[in-house]
Amino acid sequence: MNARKDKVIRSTDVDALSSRYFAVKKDYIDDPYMDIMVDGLKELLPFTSNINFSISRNLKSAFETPKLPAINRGTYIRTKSIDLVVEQFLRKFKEEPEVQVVSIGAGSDTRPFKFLSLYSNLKYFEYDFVESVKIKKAIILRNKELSSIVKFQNLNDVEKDFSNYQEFLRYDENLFTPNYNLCPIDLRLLGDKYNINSLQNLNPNIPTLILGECVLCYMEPADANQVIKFFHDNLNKSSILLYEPIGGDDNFGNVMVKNLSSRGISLPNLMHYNTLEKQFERFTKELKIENLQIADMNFVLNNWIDGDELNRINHLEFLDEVEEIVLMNKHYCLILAQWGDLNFKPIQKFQLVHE
Amino acid sequence: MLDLDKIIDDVKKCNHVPENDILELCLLVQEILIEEPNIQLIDTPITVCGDIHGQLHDLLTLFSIAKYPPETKYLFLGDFVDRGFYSLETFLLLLCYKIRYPDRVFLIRGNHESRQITTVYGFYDECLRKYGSANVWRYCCEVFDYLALGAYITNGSSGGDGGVFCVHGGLSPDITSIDQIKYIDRKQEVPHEGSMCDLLWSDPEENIPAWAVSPRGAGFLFGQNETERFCYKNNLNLIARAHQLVMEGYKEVFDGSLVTVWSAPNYCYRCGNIAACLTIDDDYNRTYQVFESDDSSMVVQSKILPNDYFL
Ligand SMILES: C[S@@+](CC[C@H](N)C(=O)[O-])C[C@H]1O[C@@H](n2cnc3c(N)ncnc32)[C@H](O)[C@@H]1O
Repeated sequence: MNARKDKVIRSTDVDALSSRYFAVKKDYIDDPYMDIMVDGLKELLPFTSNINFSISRNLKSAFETPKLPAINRGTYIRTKSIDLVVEQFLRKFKEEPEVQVVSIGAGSDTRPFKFLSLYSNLKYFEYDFVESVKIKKAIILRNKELSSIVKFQNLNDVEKDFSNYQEFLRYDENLFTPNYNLCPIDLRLLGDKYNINSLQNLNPNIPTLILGECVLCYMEPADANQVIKFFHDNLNKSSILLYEPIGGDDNFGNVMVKNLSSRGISLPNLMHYNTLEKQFERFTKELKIENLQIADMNFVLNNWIDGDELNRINHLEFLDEVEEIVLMNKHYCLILAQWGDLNFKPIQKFQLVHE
Repeated sequence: MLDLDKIIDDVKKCNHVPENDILELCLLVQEILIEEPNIQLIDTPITVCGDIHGQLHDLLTLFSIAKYPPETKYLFLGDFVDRGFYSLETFLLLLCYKIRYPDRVFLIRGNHESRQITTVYGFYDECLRKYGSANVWRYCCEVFDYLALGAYITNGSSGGDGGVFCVHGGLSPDITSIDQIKYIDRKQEVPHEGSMCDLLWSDPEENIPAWAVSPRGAGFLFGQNETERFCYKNNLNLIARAHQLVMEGYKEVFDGSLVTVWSAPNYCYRCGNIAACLTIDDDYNRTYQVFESDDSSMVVQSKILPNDYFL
């Protein structure tokens, strides 16, 4: 595993967060925790390296350069559609004593705070690289509201976090509270270095939703499949929701691979599972997970969002990139797979369905 | 006195052109454009090009494939600027050719030739970055207001086989005959509605029964019926327009009565599409030349904003 490459992969979290940041600023989505996250990241991310100059500069520009309307709309449908599925899942199991959401490659996602404040039977798990986890932990513990949402109890006795690289290295990396578990896991080592017991507090026998938002795409196909297989093998009633780019059968994917490689980002899955059909076979044939639903983001946008809401977002910004947003949305998809007698049936329609 | 050859040379290499030269260039071209009618009358043969969007290197590829002016006569359907990294150079190059060969190079206005749109989609920022002030942008915007709104291509025969109507976007419910366009007072910023706006903003759409609202927030969607009616009434054999990205570079619809031509390959250095230009000969035969993005334009890749994808 290449530390330099991993660092670039970690940096994609800033892209995801800044995209959401501007989508919030433009009123596409609502996120009361956004500013806490962004301010925290700006302050703490530079300490994660002993050469912090370029980090600060990139961060500054990421949150200062507004996104084009097409990007805002794509970010909207990404965030909104995942929220819709999570919400239905939690609503379906709200009478259960406990239900779990496991976010893999969680980055600076604020979804745990939103849903933990709404569902008292929810246990939330977030996994990412150790650097990302330490930052998120520090941001949460520095903030009263977030600390209280995750039911952190020793508020008067918070360990000192970090204000330089040395302190950052020494900072403890786990946060376990009654409803929230944040810990460092290199996902590629699931089933290898880590077994199910390494995922502390995770209960394999209760309804669980695994979320992977733009995470598996950065891994080799075998590693990514191993992650899915690990959860499939170890959790008994579970569903996995993935948001992933797909290369397509036009030239879009090749150009994307080329463009992102200039930033050092590789997307080994993009052309490997480049169409909805290939993703479909990946699950049904390679992973042997039969209960499966897939849709591209054009389908999701056109079928999941009601007329009033669509009208609202269409009027937030003037958009000249109509064909581009269709092209982009065609190259991203949602995959919902499940196993065990979960019987989770979201009302939203998908394009490809298999039971 | 302006040294046009030198400016053309500099622009092709993306060298800095003095602000004063740009001012002079813009004033000169305005004198030419002001004499042109809203709908320019152009004889065949002609090569029609769609959106360029600041992709200078791809424009140079186009010229090397379809031959540089004046050897080939060109009509550019607008959207010279925005999105690409070399909007200014692209626009200046076209202006230079217009001044040098006013009867061999024709430019009409696209929806991006507007003050409002260029402040969102890059041209304004590019000028500011390259010149430290908005002056150059302002001079160019003055030129935008003088650009014609469309063109009518004819082979000069008075026979019944009709000509080609060219416009950036498409039709307007307020306009049934080309003659009506002649009365528009075009010397203004592109309005948010009305016929001038529609010509620059509308899109054809297959399988719609009548005029419909455009998802772009300006202009309309029109279908085969509207297109056929307009062609019949104005004795046209083709409407040629640009405005919409088509992955194959060109796309004929409505039984060949309308074509979209797109001349920016790998649009925004991201879309992976092919580009095309359309040559119409004296018998109104159509020949499409398609081309891909030159790899040397990959030089610009280092500047690509990562945010052009969802990561
Ligand atoms: C593009 S970000 C997405 C973050 C978040 N899911 C979102 O959508 O906002 C990808 C995240 O996955 C994490 N990641 C990628 N590969 C990983 C791995 N092998 N182990 C743990 N985390 C990983 C990165 O650190 C980063 O935070």
